[in-house]
Amino acid sequence: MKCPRKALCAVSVAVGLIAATVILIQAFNSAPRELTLQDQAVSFITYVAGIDLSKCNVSITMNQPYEFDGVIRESLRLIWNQMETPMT
Amino acid sequence: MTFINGTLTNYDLSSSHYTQSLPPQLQPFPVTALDAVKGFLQRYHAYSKSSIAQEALGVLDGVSELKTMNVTAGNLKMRVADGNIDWLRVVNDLEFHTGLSIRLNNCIVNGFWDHSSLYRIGSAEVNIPREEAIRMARQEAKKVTKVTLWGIGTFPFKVAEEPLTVYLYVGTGNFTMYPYWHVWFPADPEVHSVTGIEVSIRADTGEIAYSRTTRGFGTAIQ
Repeated sequence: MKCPRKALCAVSVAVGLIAATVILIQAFNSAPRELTLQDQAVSFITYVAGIDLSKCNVSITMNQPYEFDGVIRESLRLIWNQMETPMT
Repeated sequence: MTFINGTLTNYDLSSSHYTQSLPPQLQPFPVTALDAVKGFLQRYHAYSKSSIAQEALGVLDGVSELKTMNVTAGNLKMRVADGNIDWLRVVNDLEFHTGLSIRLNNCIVNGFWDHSSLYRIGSAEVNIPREEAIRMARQEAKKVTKVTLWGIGTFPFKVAEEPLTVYLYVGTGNFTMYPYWHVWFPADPEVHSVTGIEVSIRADTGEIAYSRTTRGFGTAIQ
């Protein structure tokens, strides 16, 4: 009688561990991730300003953050290089 | 593009910092100026949940065409001039910046600022009447009895009894706005380039913000 109990115990522990792992993974995946400034810049330019960045190569440079009037100011510069249009 | 405390507050497509201007192919589909601004604010509101964007849209609802104009809905005033659109909060006849501005160029929103989450009205009360402000300013201005001009010398100085300009304005420091009286007394007579004394007084508290000499070209430190 001891063996089946041990086996049942082991199976229960294993199932519990798997369930806990799945829950942890789901929690990690669903946790909100902080958008970087570059992410914000690109989504703003694309969605709000309505500029189609897929038509060009964009390089982004960050300037050094600084504090002024009690707030942290950061700025970045987007430089767009239009892609060559293939001849048809 | 500028971020304040991690939130996007400004973009400027016409900035001289850009090495290249926006190629025409990348520009948004051309629409009327009104549609461009409305569409921009609608998308910005969806993007940021900015309440001022929604209020600004409310003002635009009563407009059929964007041209040089002032339009007010509730206590929000939209001022359109030279392609710039500013939204101002009107309290006690004083105009406070909301921090929201848009610049249009050929029906494209090429400049945008939203500092509305930072700006606040410190006071909209005008407790110091105009005549009291003039009296206080006169008292300050009369303290200056001589001016020293570098390399020229020190000269006796006095101002006229009555100010030439008196007006209320909204001043901002550290994103907090207060009403001020600006009172300017002309020099009597002018001493070289020194044209008078300007005094700024907090209209809510009566505190002297500054008192300084003015010059023909800008303001001098006395």
